[in-house]
This record gives sequence, structure tokens and C-alpha cells, in this order.
Amino acid sequence: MPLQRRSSVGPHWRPILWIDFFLFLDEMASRPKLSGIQKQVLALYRGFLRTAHLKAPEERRGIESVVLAEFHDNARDVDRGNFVYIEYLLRRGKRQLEQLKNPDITGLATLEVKK
Amino acid sequence: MLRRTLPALRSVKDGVTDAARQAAKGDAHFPSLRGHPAARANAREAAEGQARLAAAEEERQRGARPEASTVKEFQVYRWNPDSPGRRPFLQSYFVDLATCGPMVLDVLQKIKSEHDSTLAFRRSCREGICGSCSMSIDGVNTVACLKPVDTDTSRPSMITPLPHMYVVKDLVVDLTNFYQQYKSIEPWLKTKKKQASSGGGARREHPQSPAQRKKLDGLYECILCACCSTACPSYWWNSEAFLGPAALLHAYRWVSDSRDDYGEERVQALSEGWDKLYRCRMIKSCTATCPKGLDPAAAISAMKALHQLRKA
Repeated sequence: MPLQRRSSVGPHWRPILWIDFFLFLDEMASRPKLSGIQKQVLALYRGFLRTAHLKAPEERRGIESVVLAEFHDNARDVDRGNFVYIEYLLRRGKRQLEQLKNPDITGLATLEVKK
Repeated sequence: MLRRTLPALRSVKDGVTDAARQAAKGDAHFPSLRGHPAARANAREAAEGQARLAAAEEERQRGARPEASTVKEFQVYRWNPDSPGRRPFLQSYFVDLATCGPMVLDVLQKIKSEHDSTLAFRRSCREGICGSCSMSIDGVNTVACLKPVDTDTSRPSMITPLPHMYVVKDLVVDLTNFYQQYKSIEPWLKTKKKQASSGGGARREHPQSPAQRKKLDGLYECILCACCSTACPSYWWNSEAFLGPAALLHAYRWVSDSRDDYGEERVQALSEGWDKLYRCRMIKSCTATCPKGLDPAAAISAMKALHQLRKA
């Protein structure tokens, strides 16, 4: 129950020391470095979620579910080394995001094509 | 058959000398194209190609040269985002030119209707007015509807999308940035004189003398096919910063329009930040490749001159 302990000033309390700063730096360093294209994908994802915030609450949930599903599916299915395709998806996503930013656009919908 | 209606040219047999003689004669065969040198060269090329094709077919029927074939190989760039595992590749199609129209667009449409309906390309007017079907044919950017098929069946023709553009599918490229740049030059008429309200004496027209109108010839014909911009090495390396020949040609079209009052401001806006205008290094690929025979390089240098004169 660490939360309870932290709330009461007890034996676990201690002042912040320089060692904490170095530990923080160490943790930052051990975190995987993101490549440029990974940052772009995350920025696009963030852009979609921020744009969804500008829409009505019920629409927002719809948009978020579509965006989440799209990113999850592609993260699972797309080969990490297939830059041609990832860049294509990024450009397509940016175009769709530009459209979504238009205040007249209220929601997103997807269509499943039976093959 | 279409090609029977074309003028019978003897250039099949005594090719070069005859072609030179026709060039000297000029408009003899295509009187309706008087004053359009690019179109005339194009028409002659098409007619000669078709005549050569007819001769080959005739020879084959006579049995003189049974190996003379009218089937030509076309290597078309393919990439489909729906099958992401596949790298882009060239797919070969064998098309019988004897049963096909004279232009490359006809070949593509024949491929799409008879060989492979999954081939994607843009086309609309099929007469060089819409600028949709721009692509790289045998390494030269041009609109497919104005490009006569090379009737030499011994070597394949290669059709690829516009170079250095992002491919959406097969021969379709992403022109968002190109159109955005065109929009950034404000391609519409801007006047300083107050437009009178719709009451009496409303100034709804912007009169122009024939001499002033003549200044727009060679500028207004641009169809924004993006052939010139994608042929420009400067644009390849700096497509975000440099506006490219097509947008600059249109900018000059508005600068030289007598009805537009913002010429100076337009030039000023273009020369701000060096990149937009002065990235042009007079390579002149744009002029060499323009399917409408326009001269974007001259327009850009004229705008540079305007800017320098105003600075002086």
C-alpha cells in the first residue's frame, strides 16, 4: 500500500537529494530512444486525440475509438521496416487529420469491405 | 480505323530527309495548328508513328516481313498500398498497337479495360486541357493524352509516375503540396479601385486592350499538370521551400495582367525569404518538358528582373 504510506509522513519520508536527479537521468537514458518516424507517428496520434477533444462528447468517443483501432491495428500488422508503407500511412493520416480539424466535420466512420 | 484518316506521309520510307523537308514546309499538313510549333511537332510525330505502324502491318500481311509485329511492351510502375508487403515494381503489358488509339493514354485505357483493371491512373479530358494524366513516359514528364506512342515495337516503353512525388497508388501521385503552393501565390484578380455597389454605373468589367491581352499569351495556357515542377531538380530537393515553375508561371501571369493592381506586391511577396523564387537556377528542365510548349523559365527570370530593377 505505497499510496497510504506516502500520504503519512513516516519513516519513508526523506528530502530530495542529488542522487534522485541522477536516478532520473538514468531512467531517461534507459528509456528507448525514438526514431524520427516513430515520433511522427506519435505526434499524429496525439494530433488526432487533441482534435477529437474539440468535437462534441459523443462524437469524440466515436472518433477516439476509430483512431485507437486504426493505430492499434497498424502497430500490430505493419512491418517495422516497411518505411514506404509507414510513410504512406503517415501522409494519409495527416490529410485525414487536416480534414478532421475542419469545424464542419463532426465525426469519423469506417466501412468494412467484404472481400 | 483512326489512322487511315491521318494524312498519308511518305516519311516511312525515306525518314530523315523527308521529315526535314516537312519541317521546312511547316504547316503543310496541319494547317489548323498554324502558330503552335509544339502541337505541330507532336502531330507530325503521331502521324509518322501511325504511318510506320500501318506499313509494318501491311508488310506482315503481305508476308514480306513476318517478324514485323505491332505488339509493343509497356512497362508500367505499380505500387498498391493495400498490399504493403510488396515493393514497387514494373509490370509489363503487351499491347497490340494496331487495335489501339495513337496516344499513350489510349494504351493505358486499353490496358485498364482489357488486361488489368487494377491499374490506377488519373485521366479526364483526353485532349490536354485538364492536366490530369501527367506522368513520366520514357523518362520525360508529359501528359499521356498528348504523347504519341513510340511505334518502334523492338524496345519497350516505360511509364512511371511523376518523379520525386509521393505515390498514392500506381501512377497516381500526391499533389497536395503542389496545389498548396499554387494557392499561396493568390491566383485571382486583385484590384485597388473600389468596386462600385450594384447601383448605377457599376464597374463590373475590367476592360483590356488587345496589346495588353497579348502579354498573357504563353502564360494563361498552363493547365497545372505539374510536369514542369516535377522535372525541376531545384524542386526535387526543396519542394517545401521553392514554389516550383508551375506556381511561379502563374504568379507571373497575374503580375503581367494589366487588370491586376498588385503586381509589385506579388513580386515583393515572392522574393521574400529568397527560397520561393531564387531557388530557380535556370536549369530549364521545365521549359524542355512542358507539354503545352510554355516557357516557365523565362517567366521566372522576368520576375527576377522585375525584382532587381525595383531594388535598384
